Order: sequence, then C-alpha cells, then structure tokens
Amino acid sequence: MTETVLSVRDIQKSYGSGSGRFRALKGVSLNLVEGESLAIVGKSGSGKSTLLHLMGLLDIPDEGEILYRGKSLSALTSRAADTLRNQEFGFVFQSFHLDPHSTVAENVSMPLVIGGVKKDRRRRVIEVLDRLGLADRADERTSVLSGGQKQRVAIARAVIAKPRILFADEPTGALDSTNGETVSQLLFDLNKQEGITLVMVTHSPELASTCVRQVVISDGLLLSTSGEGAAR
Amino acid sequence: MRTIDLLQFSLKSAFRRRGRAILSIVAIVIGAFTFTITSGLGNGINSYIDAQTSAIGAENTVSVTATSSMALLSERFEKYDPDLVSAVAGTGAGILSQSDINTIKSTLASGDRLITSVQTNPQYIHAPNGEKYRFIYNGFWPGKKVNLVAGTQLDDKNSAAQLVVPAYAVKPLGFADATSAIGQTVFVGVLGVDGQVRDIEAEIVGVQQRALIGGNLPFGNEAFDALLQDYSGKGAGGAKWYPYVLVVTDDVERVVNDMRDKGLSAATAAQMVGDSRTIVTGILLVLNLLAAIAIAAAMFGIVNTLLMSIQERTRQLGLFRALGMPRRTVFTSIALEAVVLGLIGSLIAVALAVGVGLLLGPLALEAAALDLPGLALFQFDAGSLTVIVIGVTLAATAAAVIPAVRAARLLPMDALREEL
Ligand SMILES: Nc1ncnc2c1ncn2[C@@H]1O[C@H](COP(=O)(O)OP(=O)(O)OP(=O)(O)O)[C@@H](O)[C@H]1O
Ligand SMILES: [Mg+2]
Repeated sequence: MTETVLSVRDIQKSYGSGSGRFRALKGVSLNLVEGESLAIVGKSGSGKSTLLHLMGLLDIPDEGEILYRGKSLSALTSRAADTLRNQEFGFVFQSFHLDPHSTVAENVSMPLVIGGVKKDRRRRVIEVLDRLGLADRADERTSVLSGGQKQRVAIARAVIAKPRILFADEPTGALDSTNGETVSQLLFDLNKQEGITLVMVTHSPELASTCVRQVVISDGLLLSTSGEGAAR
Repeated sequence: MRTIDLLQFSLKSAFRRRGRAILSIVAIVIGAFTFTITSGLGNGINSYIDAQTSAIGAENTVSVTATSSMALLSERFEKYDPDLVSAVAGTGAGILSQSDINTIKSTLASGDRLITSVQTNPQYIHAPNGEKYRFIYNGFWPGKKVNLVAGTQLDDKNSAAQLVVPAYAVKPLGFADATSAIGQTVFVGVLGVDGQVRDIEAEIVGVQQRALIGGNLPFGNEAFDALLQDYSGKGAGGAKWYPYVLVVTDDVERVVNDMRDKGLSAATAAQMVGDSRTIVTGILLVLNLLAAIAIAAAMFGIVNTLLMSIQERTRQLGLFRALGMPRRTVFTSIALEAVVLGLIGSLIAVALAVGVGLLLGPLALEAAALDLPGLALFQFDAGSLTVIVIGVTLAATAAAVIPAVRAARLLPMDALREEL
C-alpha cells in the first residue's frame, strides 16, 4: 500500500492575464499514495479547489507536471484523459454542478451513461441513492432539491462508477451533522473497504482529522503536512 | 457512450427549448416544402410533355420552311421570286419556292424522303346534311401518332382519305359520342385557285384526346393530304409554292444542319416540344433557386439555434467533459440534434407537400380551366422524395458543424465556470 498513484510536481496556476493576473498556485508538490485519505485544508481563496481541479484532470497547470501511476498527464491524449476521468476518477464539485434539467437518477447515472455501461444502471443508482437517503427522490429534477440534497446527489454521482481516486471539494459543506456523518461514513467505507484513494478539501477539522494525512495550503503554497501518513 | 443513449440525449437536447426547436423546424419545413412541390411539379409536367412527345411521334421527320423575313431581327431583304406571285396568303411569311425545293432536294441523301405540301385552302367540314364548321388543318405528319379516346391511328398506306378529329368536334359534327363517330364519313370543302370549292370525302378513323402540345386540330393521312393539295391547286398556272416541306430521314441531325446551311429553317417535332420543355425547365430552375434560398435561410436558423443552445448549455457540456465524455461524442451529439431537426422538418415538409399537391393539383387545373387528360400537375416519386429528405437533413447537419466544433473544443473547467 505504498505505491504512488498521483504525483504532483511543482505545479503553478494563474488566472486572468496582464495586471489582473492572479497566481492561485505558486509551486505545489505532493504525492498521493494508493488507498490513503488526504485532507487539504486552508483559508478561503488559498488555492485548494484549484489544486483539486488540476489533480482531477479538469484543468491544465501552467507550470510543473502531474503523473498518474508514473505517466505524465500532459502526455495523455484527449481521449485517454477522458477515459481516466470517466473510469478512474470521481469528482465532487464545491458547487455540485448538477444538471438542473435532468432528474436525480439521470444525474447520478451520467458517468455510467458516458462510460457506455448498459447493465444494471438503474439498480446501481438506486442503491447509492438509498445509502445517501435519497432513493425516494430519484425521479425528481435536481433543481427542486435543497443544498444538502444536491450535495449528496453530487457525491452519489462521483462514486457510482467505482473510481480509483475520489476527489471531493468540501463534501459536507452544505450538510447538517447527521447527513455529514452519513456522507463521511460512505466516503471512508469506500476508502477502507474498496481501497479507493480519497482526496478531500474540507473546512471541518473533524473530517480532516479522520483522514490519514492533512496538508495545509496557504496563498498557493503547501505549508505543512501532518497526520499518520505525514512521513511519506 | 452507447448509440441509443446518445440518440436519446440529443433528442432531449434538441427539444430542451421547445419553442426554438419548433421555429427551426418550421424554417426547414418551408425550404423542404418548396423543394418537394417544385420537384413534384417538374415530374408532373415533364412526364406529361414526354407523353405528348411520343404522341407527336414522327421522330424522324424534319419540317423545313424558308426563314421568315418577319422573324425577329432577321434584317435582310428577300429576293423577289416571280413564282410567288400567286402566294397571296403568305405575303412576307417564309414561303418556299420551286427553286428552294430544288435546293433542298440537292442536299438529301439516298434514304431520305421529301414530302412537299403546297399551300392548301380547306374551308369547312361537315357531316352529311350536318352544319358546316370552319376547318383548320393541323397538317400531315408522316408517322404521326396521337392519344386517342376512340378509333385507330391514321393509315398512310390506305388510299382512302382519313381524318383524326379532336374530341371537341364530335358533338358539333352531330355524333352522339367519340365511339359512334368512328367510321363515319365527313366532307371537307377545299377552295381552289379557280375560286371553286370542292369536297373531299374522308372517313373519321380516330378521335383525339385533348392535348396541350402537338395540336388540338384535325389531322389527315397521306391520301387526305394529297387530295387537299390537289383541290387547292386547281386552276393554278403551274407555278407552285410551299408553306413548308417535310423530310423523312434516318439522320435528323444531318438534315437539320444541311437546311440551316442553305439558309432555311428546320425543326424536328422533338425540337418543337423541346421549346416548351426548356420553358418548363427554366421556371422550375427559378422555383428550385427559391427553395435553395429558403433552405439556406433555414441553415442559418439552425446555426443560430445550435449556437444559442450550446451557449446555454456550456456548463452542461463542461460537466459532460468533466465526467469523461470525449470531444467526438460532444460533436456527434450536437450534429445529431441537427439531424433530428432536419429529419423531422423534411419529413413534415414532404408529407405536407405531397398532401397539398395531390389535393390542390386537380383543383388548380380546374380553376385554371385546364382540362388536359393525362396531366397531373404534381407527380411525386419515392426516389426524389427520399433525395429531398436526405439532402435537407445533410444541409442541417452541415449547419451544425461550426456549433458542434465549438462545443467539442470546450475545456471542462472553463465551461463549468461559465456564469449563466
Ligand atoms: N476562474 C478564476 N478566475 C480568476 N480567479 C480565480 C478563478 N478561480 C479561482 N480564482 C482565484 O484563485 C484563488 C484560489 O481559488 P480557489 O477556488 O482555489 O480557492 P479555495 O481555496 O478553494 O477557496 P474556498 O475555500 O473559498 O473554496 C482565489 O483567490 C480565487 O479568487
Ligand atoms: Mg474551494
């Protein structure tokens, strides 16, 4: 359990251009070990989401590189990157990004549809929704859901295709303590039972401390690493 | 992504904004409808012309006339020919003299046959004891076939004079119907140069269906024509002049060219019909151009609809890309939306046009008082309808290329960040 799945090497990322240019990440390096759970913490605007997007192949770093199982992501073809995002990665967005025109079940099954899965889609969707207490809302449009419900749908969508790495941007940010508990239970079950590598951004010290390792980001730089996995 | 899922997704996307999708479809319907109607009209009229052309028959006959000094922009003096003194009726018109006939004869090949007809002066036609009607002759065309409602074609080998009369002549001549007119004897009065009128006794062998092209007047067989010429020339001093001559030949083209080289006018039956076909083709071309403009406008409508649609769905498309949908699938799904719109639009248009054409075609002919048996104003065939549906759908798909490329180029995070 010490194989490095994802290796981030001195990545930099800026937004905007000219005088409006903002350096969100100023050179961050870290290794993600197969099966571990990593919490990224830090003040608002410090660059946590930016880092997560880059790691999840949703954005391209300006400088530095990211390796997945030893292979540089920048060398991947567009098609290979798509397959990676669809089959190996799961992503929970900070602002959920559900399709408001589709039902809960349609949103959750999207990765399966895109991946060309045909068998058991509905059953798998209901199973996950059931775990998150939303099975009875399966056929409603997501636009009628509350913030917390949307967040749980987003999590269901991220885990439905059984990814190898799950990136979650504040997965319990919109949830009350009961639902927050359910969600973190689900995430760590997947982590422990199925060996899914977990990377989460969180403001909750409790949730962060459940992870084997915590990194702190401040002003686009990695400040410190702590936790049992810190030695790595 | 499985094809069925992609199709379902595109269908859903196409109708996400129902109003806009319907407007795009309406634009496509207008263009495709025009195309279908035009093609139906073209088929209908051309197949009618085809039928009429074969009715004219006489495919190896060339009609030769002198080039008329009254022809448009002719600008030439015609030499005075003393033989034409007696050509009272034809002053100025292109009349052939005996020397012209000799010229024509000199160009003919061995197999060619020259049929001369002098100016004839038929006056009237009547059944025995019946009322007299003015007789306007359609002429003699060797090998001529007409569309008959009753009777048989003219027989040029028969030495008895024969006539085919138009359907409208049956009642005035005193016959109950076309069938009972067959075999009846009628008389045609012919004015000679000597001022006397002599009757030709002729048998009605056929009654002609009403025709748009090729003449709606009585035709005679060779024997009838000979009598007509003979009686008309009675009393003339021997000088002959001819309104036209016919050349029957195996090489129509050579004869036409030879005649033109000699400064004469030559026309084949097919050429005479060809004129009307050219006009029809011209009109259809204009209509097709209008249809093409309508389709072009519809294509811009589709470009606009799809650009707006992907603009609105930027975040959705970004999400699909984030969840691993390949660029090619994004492209295909947008193109499929256009296919859906184009297919629905063109199918509606074709159904509508066929319905309207079949329903209104006969009504339009009736309103225009065009009672032409055998003419269906609109005629649709599965082949051209299929071509229209496929063509319009392809045009719609072509219109989708720019929006689809733009959608496929979206980067996941850029698209997701889009504020809408
Ligand atoms: N698309 C963008 N354009 C310009 N600036 C951006 C953009 N996205 C992020 N930023 C800036 O980059 C910095 C880091 O943003 P990021 O979203 O990574 O912060 P964060 O650590 O996730 O904050 P939070 O805890 O509030 O979610 C912020 O200052 C933000 O203003
Ligand atoms: Mg954030």
